Amino acid sequence: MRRRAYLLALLTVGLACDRGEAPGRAAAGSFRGVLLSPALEKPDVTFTDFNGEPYNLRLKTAGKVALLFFGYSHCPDVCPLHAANVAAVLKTMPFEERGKIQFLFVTTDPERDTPARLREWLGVFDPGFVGLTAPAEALAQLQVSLGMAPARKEIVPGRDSADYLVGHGAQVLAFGLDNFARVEYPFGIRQEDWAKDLPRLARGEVPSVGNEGAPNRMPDAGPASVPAAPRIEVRVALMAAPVTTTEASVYLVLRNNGDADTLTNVWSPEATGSMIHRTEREGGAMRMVAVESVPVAAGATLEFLPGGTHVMLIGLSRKPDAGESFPLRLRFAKAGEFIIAPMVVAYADLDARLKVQQ
Amino acid sequence: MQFWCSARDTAWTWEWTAYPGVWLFIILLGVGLVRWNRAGARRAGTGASSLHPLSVVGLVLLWLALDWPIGALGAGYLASVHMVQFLLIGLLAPAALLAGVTPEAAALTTRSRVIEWLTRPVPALIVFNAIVLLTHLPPVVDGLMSSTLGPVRAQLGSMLIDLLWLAGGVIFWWPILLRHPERPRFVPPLRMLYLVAGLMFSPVMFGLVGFMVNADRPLYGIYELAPPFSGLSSRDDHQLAGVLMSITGATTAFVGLSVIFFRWSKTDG
Repeated sequence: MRRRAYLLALLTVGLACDRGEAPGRAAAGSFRGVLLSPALEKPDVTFTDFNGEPYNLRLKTAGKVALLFFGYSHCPDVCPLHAANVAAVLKTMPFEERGKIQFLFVTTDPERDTPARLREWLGVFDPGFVGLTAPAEALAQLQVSLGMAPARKEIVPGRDSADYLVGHGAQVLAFGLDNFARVEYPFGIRQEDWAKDLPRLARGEVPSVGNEGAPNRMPDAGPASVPAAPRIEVRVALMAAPVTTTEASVYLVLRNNGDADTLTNVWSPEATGSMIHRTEREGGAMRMVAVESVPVAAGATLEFLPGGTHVMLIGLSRKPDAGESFPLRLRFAKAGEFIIAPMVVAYADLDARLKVQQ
Repeated sequence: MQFWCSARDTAWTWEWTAYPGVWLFIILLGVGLVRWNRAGARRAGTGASSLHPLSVVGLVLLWLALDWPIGALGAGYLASVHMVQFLLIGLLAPAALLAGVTPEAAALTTRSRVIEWLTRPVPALIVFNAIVLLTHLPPVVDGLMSSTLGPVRAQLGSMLIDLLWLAGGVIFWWPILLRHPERPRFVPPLRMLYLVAGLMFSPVMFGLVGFMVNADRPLYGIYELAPPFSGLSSRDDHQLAGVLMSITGATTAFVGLSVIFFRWSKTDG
């Protein structure tokens, strides 16, 4: 347990704090959540709800925005926070819009989250929230298919084994009226962000990168619900699970669907510094060279891969585990600024995941 | 993932935590006050004075505000407890600390032009209000105390805010509590006006209370991103913080006004 080094702090009060902004802020006019590219299709899966009834995700949430979250009721932080913030915002929305939003809580801890417990716990936030469960194997497959690492039990040293934690994805997936999730909400998203995005999702607006200004309204007809290609398309976004919080490498594949542009800055609100590194061979040795900006031609693909150019984050505020996401902000000279959430993967799995995602 | 409580870098528990740095700070402050009073007594050639009971009250209030649990809860969990910290550190403790400073000790400060200027009523009022405003602006609070900066920097940020409050409180109370032959306090009606302008009808405090009580969404991300506390939503917590600021500010001003008025009427009578 950490103790405050108060005196030391008093003696070294000369602080130089950069303003770490909360994750989830995309460019003006666009959605506040983290954009998913490619979009995830709503899975055709049947859960069991907290009343013991079958709950087919597609059928039960047809015509609604489904906020899908995997968590557990004994969670000390992320789960009650997401539930409380969504509930607080729903209370302020008009009845018609609120009726189009369904918060679904899929338990990753069926051992302790009995139906009665789920009903009681979710009811504290909003009686309209639905608690769901599924067999362990199906649940794990579902999480993987949605780009999350399966939840896992974590025994806390020194605590009763029954008082365990469950590691799980911290993001809420928002499936729009068209049954596609194009945006997710990581931990750190605030009520004002939900309040901006939920009414837009309920109206059927489709999030896409670079949609500053004019909202990209979803057409009524079916096939047209595939979103227009964003100006900067994120094809791959992975972070190698760091061993310490000192530094971490991020690998990206970005396609520029717009005019020629320049990547001018990459940084994370959860890291004190960041650099774009290019690996160069000098004599017989490899060395890293810091790069100020990276131009990308119209229609070209920008690759930040192991052994080549990559993003180096320095001084992480926490050590993310495999399966989590980590906020990263990109600024392009023309396309503007947006936030992405590279998934953290074990270094051993990096090559395989890069191949799959490319 | 338990990175919501910036003061502890872990999920909140009611398990007692020692903050030896806080204890050391309080002890050093107490020693400093005693030495200041003694230095004043030596210079004036009067008898040595010990720590005044009111200064002890001030030190206890500071200790309560900074130590577990108020220190940890206020630094990363509840906006209302953060407000209690502000009221203790920035309002009540400085008044009690200064009330225990002897006139002889106060006379020592006349040698510093900066202190002389800062503790004049108008600059003091402006500086106090500026500090209150600055340290309650959401970008400043979230920017200095957010756990996304890392636990150490969040703690440093929290301490910087605590120190600014203490400094602001000392500057605010100085013109009406410290007295010495070379610089008599200003007249009672103006002292009362000073309290009214600084606490009771301060536009800064009014504005902050208004935002905290009436805003649709919680002002501070750091407290919004802490899990709900026993049925208290983040918005309730912010509203409670606003109410605490309003009531305590007005009550402190009212007590101060009463003390000044009755002493004044006694003197005149």
